[in-house]
Amino acid sequence: MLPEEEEIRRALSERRIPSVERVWPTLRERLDARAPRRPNVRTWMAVAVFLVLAVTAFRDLRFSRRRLPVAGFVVANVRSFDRPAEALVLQPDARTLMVIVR
Amino acid sequence: MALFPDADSFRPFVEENFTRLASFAQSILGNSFEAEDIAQEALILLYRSRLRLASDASPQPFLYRIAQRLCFSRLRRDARRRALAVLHMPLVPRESPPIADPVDSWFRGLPRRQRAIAHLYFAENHDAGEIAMILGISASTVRVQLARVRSRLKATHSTLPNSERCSHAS
Repeated sequence: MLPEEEEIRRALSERRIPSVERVWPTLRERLDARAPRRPNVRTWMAVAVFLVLAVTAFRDLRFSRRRLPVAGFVVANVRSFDRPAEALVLQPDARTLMVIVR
Repeated sequence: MALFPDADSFRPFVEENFTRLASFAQSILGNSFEAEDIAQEALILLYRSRLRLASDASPQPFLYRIAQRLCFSRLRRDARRRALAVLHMPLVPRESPPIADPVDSWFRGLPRRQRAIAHLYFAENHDAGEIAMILGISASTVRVQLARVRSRLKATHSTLPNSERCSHAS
């Protein structure tokens, strides 16, 4: 064995480490304490997905009824060649009206 | 049957291992301040996971691996903090830090893995096979690392306590 190793071994054996008697009361309390619960990742992911779906469904239901036709509208009681028909009126720009009858 | 049915039955194991474990942590961390905390934390983690341990297996290697992992993560955290502290470093030089224990300084000069291996070799008198079993690495890796530790020890012999005493005496 190298003399340098002897020195290291002796220095390590001379280390002052606190005794167990001093540490045990603290350690004993910590042993009895409940381990902090880790957040369950799967549960939180499921909750997040559920919330996204719920908000999406709510928005669809809440705002779909109020949605007004922006690009055009359907006209009722239209006749074409004396036969009942449907007409869709579109306004592609401010100066143009387009009527589609079928 | 659990290895330690309750906290009181855990005490003999603590008495047997606490000092050695704190010394192990001190060698890896390079200071004694956090070593005690690491030793306590490792023992608590072992106690909490005692139900998962096989009743016929020795818990000591598991304990040392926990302590090693805690020490490594503490060193990583300290390195992050040091890197952040550089940004807020004052222009005026601070007071010089207190002089560390020469053995702690020598251990701090080693890479992290070598610190654990060197401690188990010098302080616990384990051979390469036992160290490999404790740390969960191969025996050949331990032998290579031990050779590097020895060569480093020869190179840095002057920093050790006894040689300091000799140089002061002369």
